[in-house]
Amino acid sequence: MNELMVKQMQNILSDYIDDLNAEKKPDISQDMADNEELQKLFETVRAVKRLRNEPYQELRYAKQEAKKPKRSFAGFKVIAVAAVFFIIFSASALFKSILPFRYDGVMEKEAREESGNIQNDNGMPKQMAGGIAEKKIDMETKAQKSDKTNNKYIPKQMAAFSDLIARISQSLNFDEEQECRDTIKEDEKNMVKSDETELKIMTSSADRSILLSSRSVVYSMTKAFQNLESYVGTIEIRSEQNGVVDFLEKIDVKYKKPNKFYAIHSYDGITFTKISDGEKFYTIQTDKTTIDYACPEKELWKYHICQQIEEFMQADEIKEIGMDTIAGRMAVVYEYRYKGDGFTNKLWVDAKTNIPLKNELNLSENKRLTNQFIQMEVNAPINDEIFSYSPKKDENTIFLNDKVELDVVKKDWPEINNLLKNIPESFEFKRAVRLKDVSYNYLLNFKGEDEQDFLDVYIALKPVSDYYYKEADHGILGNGWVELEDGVVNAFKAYIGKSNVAKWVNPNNELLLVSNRSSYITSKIFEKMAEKTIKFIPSEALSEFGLEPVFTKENH
Amino acid sequence: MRLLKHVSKADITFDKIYKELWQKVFRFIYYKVQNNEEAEELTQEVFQRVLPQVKEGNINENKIKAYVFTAARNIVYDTWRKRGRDLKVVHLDEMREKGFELEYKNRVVEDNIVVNEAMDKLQDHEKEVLILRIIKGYTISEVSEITKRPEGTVKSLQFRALQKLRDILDEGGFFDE
Repeated sequence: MNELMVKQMQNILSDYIDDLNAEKKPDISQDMADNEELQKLFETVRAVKRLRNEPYQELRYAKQEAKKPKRSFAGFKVIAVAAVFFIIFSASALFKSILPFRYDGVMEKEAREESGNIQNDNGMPKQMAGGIAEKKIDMETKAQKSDKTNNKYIPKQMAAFSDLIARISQSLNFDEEQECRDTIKEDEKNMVKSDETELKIMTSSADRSILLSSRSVVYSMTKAFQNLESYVGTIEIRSEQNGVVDFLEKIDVKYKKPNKFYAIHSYDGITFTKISDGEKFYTIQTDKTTIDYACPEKELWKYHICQQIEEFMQADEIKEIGMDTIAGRMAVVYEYRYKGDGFTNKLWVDAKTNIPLKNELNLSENKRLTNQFIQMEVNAPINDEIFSYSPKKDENTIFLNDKVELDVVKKDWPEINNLLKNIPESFEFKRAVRLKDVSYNYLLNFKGEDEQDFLDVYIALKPVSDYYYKEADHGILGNGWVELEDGVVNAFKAYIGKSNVAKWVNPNNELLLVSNRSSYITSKIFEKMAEKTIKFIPSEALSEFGLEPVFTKENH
Repeated sequence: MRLLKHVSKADITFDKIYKELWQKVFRFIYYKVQNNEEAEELTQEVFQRVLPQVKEGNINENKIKAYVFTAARNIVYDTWRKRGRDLKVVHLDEMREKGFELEYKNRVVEDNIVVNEAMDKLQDHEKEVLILRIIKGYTISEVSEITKRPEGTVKSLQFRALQKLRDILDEGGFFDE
């Protein structure tokens, strides 16, 4: 084939793909129809396109899109441990008024305790810190070093820690509702569950049978979550070591899609309530109530149903082992394992609704984390009023952040006009929030045309990042540098599932964009503001800016 | 009068079959051709082919469904044959509703397993461009923006990746139907 022919073929094939993407009948001439090579290429395109209908295809290939290295169970273990750590951290933080995005000095101490495997002020064991301690030490060493020269390090450390958690979580590649809401064709629905036996017969090997079976289970669970609008239940989170319970939390939750919830948390005789009305996140304790405008979804990821589905999805081996009764319901029990790991985990799935009811993660050092519904009702009617909360007049109310007018931001940061004029028109401004005790000073929320479309802009009036993530992409823009990363999971513990993060650090300020849209797209805002294009560089080159890499270790 | 009655009954039967099977046939054809416009056109063609036979009373009422499914399969394969592919045509006796459904479901699952495995044999950057272009549905310029590669490079990479994938599938007998 000469060069011209190759070019022609490339164009034909590209047009063919465009037509399929636009659901148009491809324009195929007789010459093209007679060309066997082209016909096979067309069929290859169609074959790839059929993959989009797989329930977890988005997830499988999101890794490729985000250019992330494949993570194995090592990452998973870390998130499991991180989840426990986070629970413990949250619990201890409760007493010290530490809330997400805040730091009051105890974290550093606690982190050392974590790594030293000792107890914190509340007597809670810290053994579960496990693998994360090593990572935290790396972070702390760096942060402490930074503290010597810059007393602003504390909030940075918090941001870094949040980042770290998010990045650890990333190994799960969890995309919660977006995944669950992905359109799945009706024909596959018919195929999967009821015909599971049939599918097994159709396959030629035991392996394939298991594969199909597990695909069916995952599909059914995903579909079940897709059809779920709300749930009311009681969840128990239990951490054990050598059979001894070292942490037990009970959560009575009423959840309504997409992000409203009312949850009463109880542990060690302490009770507090967390409410999200979709806009504000309230934490109601006996002596005070905190109100957070920034990200009402936070906290939900700890126990949310879709989290369990996601964890199960990542398994390399799944085996049905029997039936059990959980929360008064018949449940199918599955054993699952991750490649290269000796630990066997278990998931109990409601035989009727396909909603996971219990998840048991087995970790190193004979540790076990169990997350179980002890009572649950799917799609129970919930009055929206329960998600509203008005603090009493004499209530000690702390606003972790304030809703402010744009003019207030403008006064502090005149450059906002340049930002606003470069935000795509499809995004509508929702609110501005003045943040407290964190690296960033303001947050601007924008919503796109679709419900899922969002763009959050964090503004720091001074540059705050003196570290970079090796796994992200980096570039130079104007006098500053940018960091782009797609597929960040549970970013800052505030964005459930996967989001895309673009950061621009320049001598005068720092901007951070979090969106469901690719950071490679949102970073165009930076380019328009700078009236320059990003020049991509190897990450290591950032060391020349005096920046240090942050590692997220694997396989420990 | 007798003729009118006969036609009316055939119409009712056809209408019933049309309502009952249109969606199933459309889904089957869509799966094969992967675009809405062509799938609608071919589905219409299936029923256009069946209608005269029903009207003329050439098909036993109990066999209409099987006839529709056979027509659907043949029309897809005819279309491909016209485009140079020599595919086996299944005749009415070989095709029953259950067989049609099973064959369809079987193909959905097995094809996807095979294609997934073949995709895994591609290099990351090749796989990436196919995912972005075909599964995610991005345009060439969007992929160029995301991957930071010139549009021409994306186009040639896409071509090479598809050639490679086709060869892998071909070796595995994917096209031998």
